[in-house]
Amino acid sequence: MANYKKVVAVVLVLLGITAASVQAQVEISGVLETGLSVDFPAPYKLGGKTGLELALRRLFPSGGVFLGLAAAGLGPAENGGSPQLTLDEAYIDYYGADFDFRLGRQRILWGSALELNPTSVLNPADVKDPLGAKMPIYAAKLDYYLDGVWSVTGVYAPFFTPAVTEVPLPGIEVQMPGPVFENGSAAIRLSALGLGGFDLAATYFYGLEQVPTLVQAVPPYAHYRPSHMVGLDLAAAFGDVGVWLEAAYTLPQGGANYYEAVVGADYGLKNGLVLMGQYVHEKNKLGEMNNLIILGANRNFGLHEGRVGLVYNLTEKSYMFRPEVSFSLWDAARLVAGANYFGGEGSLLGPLFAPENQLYAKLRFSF
Amino acid sequence: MRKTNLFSFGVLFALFLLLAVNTTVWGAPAAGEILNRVDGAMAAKSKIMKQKMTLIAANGQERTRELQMWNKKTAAGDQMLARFLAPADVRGTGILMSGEDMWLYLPALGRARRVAGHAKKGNFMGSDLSYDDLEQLATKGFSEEYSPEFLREDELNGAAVYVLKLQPLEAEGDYSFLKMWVDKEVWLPRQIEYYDLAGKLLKVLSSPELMAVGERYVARRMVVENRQSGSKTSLDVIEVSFDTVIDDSLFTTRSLERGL
Repeated sequence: MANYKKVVAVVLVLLGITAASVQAQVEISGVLETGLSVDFPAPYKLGGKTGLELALRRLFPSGGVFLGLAAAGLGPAENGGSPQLTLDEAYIDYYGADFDFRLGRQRILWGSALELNPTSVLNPADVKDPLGAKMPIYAAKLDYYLDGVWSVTGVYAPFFTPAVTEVPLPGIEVQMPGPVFENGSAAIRLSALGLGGFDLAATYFYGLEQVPTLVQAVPPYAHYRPSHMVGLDLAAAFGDVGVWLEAAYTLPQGGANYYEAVVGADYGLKNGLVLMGQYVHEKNKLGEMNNLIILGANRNFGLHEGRVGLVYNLTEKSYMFRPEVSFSLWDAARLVAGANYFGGEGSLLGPLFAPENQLYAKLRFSF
Repeated sequence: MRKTNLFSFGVLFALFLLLAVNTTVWGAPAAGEILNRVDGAMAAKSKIMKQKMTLIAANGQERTRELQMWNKKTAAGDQMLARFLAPADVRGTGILMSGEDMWLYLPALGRARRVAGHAKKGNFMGSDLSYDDLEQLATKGFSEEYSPEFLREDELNGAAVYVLKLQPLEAEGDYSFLKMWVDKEVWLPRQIEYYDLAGKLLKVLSSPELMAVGERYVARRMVVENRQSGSKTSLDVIEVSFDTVIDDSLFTTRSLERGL
């Protein structure tokens, strides 16, 4: 009963915001998604998720305002869950003649690779789902366009947002950085798009690592180390083959340097099948070497779409296989059905990644 | 006197031969001239067009899309920016083609991503037209990529037409040849048949309705039927303007990433 009241309260808040937005001539869009999943093997735990994403936007000739809200846990099948309303992105834009300025809670996504972007380090990733959406951060971002090809981007994020707030060891305190200027993150990126058929970018980042590092002291503790990162990414097309390369080299204070590099290519066949392959090589902050192969294929079947993905960890001998079909039910409504199957021995995407074999179906309605 | 007459006849005969070489059929312009006039009738310094696109699957299921396209010819090559306005699940998706470069912007991805040449040969957002087809119809024209051959004069749905066969100039094209029915009055393609590399009819584009915009004509409706899969796409013009001033800065990834 309490959950029911919370759902009603969340829906009323969203309706109120929507009504006010209509009055203010704000563009409203969103996605309502409800899904069912079955974990396997036995005992075949059944799960359900219903969520609503609402985006409000008002554009002006020289900028705009954006507010994104997400309501989760709206469905009755969500075991013991309670509805939650969270702020997603919320920012203001100002467009100058040669620059764009964005201030607020935002995602700053960089890099030429697919799914895994070593140079996209400003927003923390969800360590339980490194391939999923990153968390928004509060930041000021300025893009300055030197001409139609070259641009420089500068970012300052004043508040530290960690990806992980605890370590899986008993009695270890994680020292949270205070909200002071020097604990913020800053990045600068020089990009060239369409330079002789290449897209190139060089990135420099300074900030705290988003995952804590254990310090063997008495008593032991964990803290977020300051670090410098330099990155490079490029994308090009050679005839019908698209290629990309993205690499980041991180220099933390008080520890060994580490790096991650991704190289990939895609190619489309005449029957509409698009094939993609990526190779990921990394030395992580613990000094462990990892090598991944990511393969994907997708194809449209009229109004519908099918895709398969495979992630194989060459070092750990583990893998994930994900087939998925997406049916167009009507304009703006899709039924997506698929499976996540994990196999092999070791960890696939880091020690905190939680693999779950699962069959799922999601009904997604955009408005 | 007799010699003079013979000489005059010879000159006239030579002129006739010259004309015959340049015009496949007496009274009809040469194939190259027809194709140039087609390109001229479709070409514009710039074009802004809002369209409704209806995708019809082989089983009759329909989905509609609304999109806006900006085209411009510049010194750096043909420029095209397309943005989807509706429905909600594709709203904000954008495509930028600048010369040989192409970028795709997906709102979920949050940034413009370069796409390779194979994407240009792929279907434009699930339709029966490829990006290359669209580029030819929108800005590029056909003369750059095809060599025309005059087949005959004909009539198509009441309109007098010239029928051309277009052979690709490069062997790496998507089609073995095209057949084009060109309206004699307005010099627009009334119908185009696209033949696959095996020489089989792949798709048929028809323009059953034309509309006047100022002094030029444009297809109010285009229908593309894929004869092999059974799917169909129709494109209906909602708004169109030609030779409007469009700033070059529109055809940049900056503009693409700003979204609608």
